[in-house]
Amino acid sequence: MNQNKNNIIGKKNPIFNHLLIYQKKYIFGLASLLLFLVPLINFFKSDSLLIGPESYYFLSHSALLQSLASHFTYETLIIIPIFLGLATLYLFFALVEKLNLSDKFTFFFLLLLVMSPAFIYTYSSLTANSFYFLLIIATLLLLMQEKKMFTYLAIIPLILATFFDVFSSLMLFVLLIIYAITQKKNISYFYLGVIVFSSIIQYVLGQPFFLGPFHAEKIIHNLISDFGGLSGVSFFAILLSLIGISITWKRKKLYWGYIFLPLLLPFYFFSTQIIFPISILILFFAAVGFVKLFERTWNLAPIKQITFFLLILGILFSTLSYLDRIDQLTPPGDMIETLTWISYNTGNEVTILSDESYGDYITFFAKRKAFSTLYEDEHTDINQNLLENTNVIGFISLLENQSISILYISKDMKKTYKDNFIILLQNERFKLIHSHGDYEVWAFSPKEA
Amino acid sequence: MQLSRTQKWLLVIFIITLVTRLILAFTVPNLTYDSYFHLRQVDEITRTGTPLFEDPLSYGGRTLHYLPFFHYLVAFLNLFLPLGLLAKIVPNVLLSLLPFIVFALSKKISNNETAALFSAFISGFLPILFTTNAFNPLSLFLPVAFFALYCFLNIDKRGFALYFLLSFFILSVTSSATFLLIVGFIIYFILSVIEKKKIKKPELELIIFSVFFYIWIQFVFFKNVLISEGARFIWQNVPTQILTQYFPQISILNALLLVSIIPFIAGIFVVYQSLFQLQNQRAFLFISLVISTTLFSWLRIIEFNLALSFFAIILAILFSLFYTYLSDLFAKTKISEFKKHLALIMVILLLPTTILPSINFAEKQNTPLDSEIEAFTWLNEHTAKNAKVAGLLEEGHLITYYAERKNLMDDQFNFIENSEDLFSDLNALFATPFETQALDITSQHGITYLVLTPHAQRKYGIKNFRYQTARCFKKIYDEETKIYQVDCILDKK
Repeated sequence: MNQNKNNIIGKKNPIFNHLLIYQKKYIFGLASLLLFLVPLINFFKSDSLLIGPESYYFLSHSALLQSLASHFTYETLIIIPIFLGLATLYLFFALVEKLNLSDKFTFFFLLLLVMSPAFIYTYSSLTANSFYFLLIIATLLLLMQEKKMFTYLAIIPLILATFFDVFSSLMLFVLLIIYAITQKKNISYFYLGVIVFSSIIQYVLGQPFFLGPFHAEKIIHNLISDFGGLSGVSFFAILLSLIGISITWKRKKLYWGYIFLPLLLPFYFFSTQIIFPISILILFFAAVGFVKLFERTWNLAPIKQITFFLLILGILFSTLSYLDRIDQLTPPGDMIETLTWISYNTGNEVTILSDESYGDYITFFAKRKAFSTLYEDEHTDINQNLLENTNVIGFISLLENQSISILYISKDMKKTYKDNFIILLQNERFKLIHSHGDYEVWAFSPKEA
Repeated sequence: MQLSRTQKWLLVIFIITLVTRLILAFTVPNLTYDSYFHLRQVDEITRTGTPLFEDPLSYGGRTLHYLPFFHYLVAFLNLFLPLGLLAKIVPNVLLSLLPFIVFALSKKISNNETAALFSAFISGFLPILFTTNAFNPLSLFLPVAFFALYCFLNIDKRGFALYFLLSFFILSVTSSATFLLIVGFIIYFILSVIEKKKIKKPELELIIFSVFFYIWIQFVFFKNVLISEGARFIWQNVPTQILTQYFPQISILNALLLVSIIPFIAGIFVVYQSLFQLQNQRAFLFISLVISTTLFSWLRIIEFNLALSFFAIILAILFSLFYTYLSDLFAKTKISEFKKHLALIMVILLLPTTILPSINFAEKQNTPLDSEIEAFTWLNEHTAKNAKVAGLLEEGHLITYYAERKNLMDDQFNFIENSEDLFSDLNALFATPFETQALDITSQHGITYLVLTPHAQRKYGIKNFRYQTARCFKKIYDEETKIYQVDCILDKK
């Protein structure tokens, strides 16, 4: 009896055994369910299907996406990240077969990954990561092929994967080296050279080290989804990863996992935009911890069962809790209405002052120039100076100098800047020209009549 | 059943503790201010069967999140006894059980019954625990927490795993302060690894279980708070102006008095000896708890009272090791004759340093006066149901409990977006000499009545509000406590 209770993830447990054998189907099914659930929830609860500000960045900056959006509606593009997510999973299974990873580890790693808010977010919005990870898995798979032709073809996804930012190229570079060392395969210097060469060209052409950020960065908040972050992982996964790290410390086979820790962790403090790769690493260690924890024989077998149950519930809880607030990650209907109003009722040349976090929404919905965005440093200081201004003369002079004629104000901005620029709006040169719900559009007359 | 001599002494300690506590509880009028929040929750559970998570009165209407086990327990007892009586009896009975648990724990780590009896006695008369008129979950949390520790130390014995599970479940749904135990367990694990002491397998299993279970329960109850406030949730959204009240910078002397001076000195000695000389693993767990309590207190994560209470009980337990050490020391030296008198010396030293400060502490509890309670009851009978009343922050729960009216604010800060602004406004209502400022605040928050209790008069050094005029602030209750009706609204247009 005690033996049975201890055998939760052992081969002798018929249910677990079944899950393990058919893991491809179950993981794929679960991923499909979660990824299709997001637009479904947003369809009923929200005014937009695409979540996250990054989607709107790509929609307003990518000619291809704009062309697609003009043929269909922009919301139909939700199918792209879902397709990318499922394709990445499919390729990952192929990769696992090549790498001979253990069944149990693969199952728990993918289960944790698919249920993580980081995965749901990445593959429910148009993000660089959703393309990037498909490309690097494709590169690795092609490199592993016996036929030379396929290995040459790997150059295509490899070059494409360097198109996002310098950091992604650096990660790909390290990954190829690790692959060569752990799999004892010779990677031609040619591939590494291509990465370096392509990255240098991109960098010279203005590619940033990190793409983004597209939202206000908070290190803990963005990492732990239970604290209300945009994506991240469950707190339980973090704890499991700590167990995993303490275990892999003694296992030489998993040492390569540690190479990524110093690469990713310090960079995370510079840009939380790399949350998805960080999440994958955390979930990797979490899966190791999970398997190790429940493979060992416990003296208190019933407590082992309860702990297992609690962990599954905890991870499920984080996923459900994230899905429950997924509609809050879409731009609110009031915002879309006011920005669309701007696009119809203001001149094409106007520049809009607002909080930097609204930059991409302004560019996409209002089709006007946002004075500053989170990822453009050029006007960051002036933008902040304007919003925190309490001197009406200085404020007006700055607005005139920067040719700003529209102010877009949300409820949050009113609260944050209630003692700053908001009090200056009492001046006759500012006029409320439109409002809807929590959002207001103010016009600024550059010259006194 | 024949009781042993030790058991009889233990029973005597229990009875003396309980009787002293009850006498003080019934002598000091009313309950501490925060108790009325818990009374109201119990009252609600008794009437409706569910906690008041959507409170229409606190802050004029808000969402509340708290762990309700203690309130359910008292609500169940309320089926048999009146709440007023239970509020004074239950916490004191629960805290009087501490000597039994402390005895068991002390005996476990010291193997000395006399030493354990002294520890039990100290735990019964810790000054910091002599808030005899406080009705809050801490009175349940402390005995159950130490019972869980006892089960943890006895995990090899049959049945203790189940007792641990039960007690840990109760703790997790009683107070978030259970994380003191969790972090204590983790530090215990780390200390054992550092000192190369082998940790028992079942202990490790219980630690893993406890961590996940605790976090899961917190997620279930505080999901929304976590999402909206993130990691700040830990600091309970306490306004910065009153942070010092929750986490005061207390002098060493005061702390010594509250945890009792003899156990404090003994505790320091034992911690030093256990860590650096004897490497006594049995004491590691308690030392780990001391570290976790100190750490969280320093980080201002737990309230000062809770930290000191936890700390004081651990010191009482560690005292048993100190007594055993002294006893052994005397036996080995030329003054071994002295050993016979050790117990007597301890009694002489402990009596004035525990019982007297405890009684003194109990008599100085911060409770509302009868006249203040009468005023709040009067409000209930003579004002409209939708009235909003402003009183001191600590009187917020008196307004919702006795007056059954909306308050401007109370000490349940979680989920309150503008608690700092509210506190500034509330403070200004009592301190400002300007009528326009007062009217601006009352109009902004829809306050219809102002209450000036003797407590508030002392706090702000006023007899009446400085700005009060008969035109806008009509005095409608004029006893020791004064109540004013706000008759004007400041129209900013």
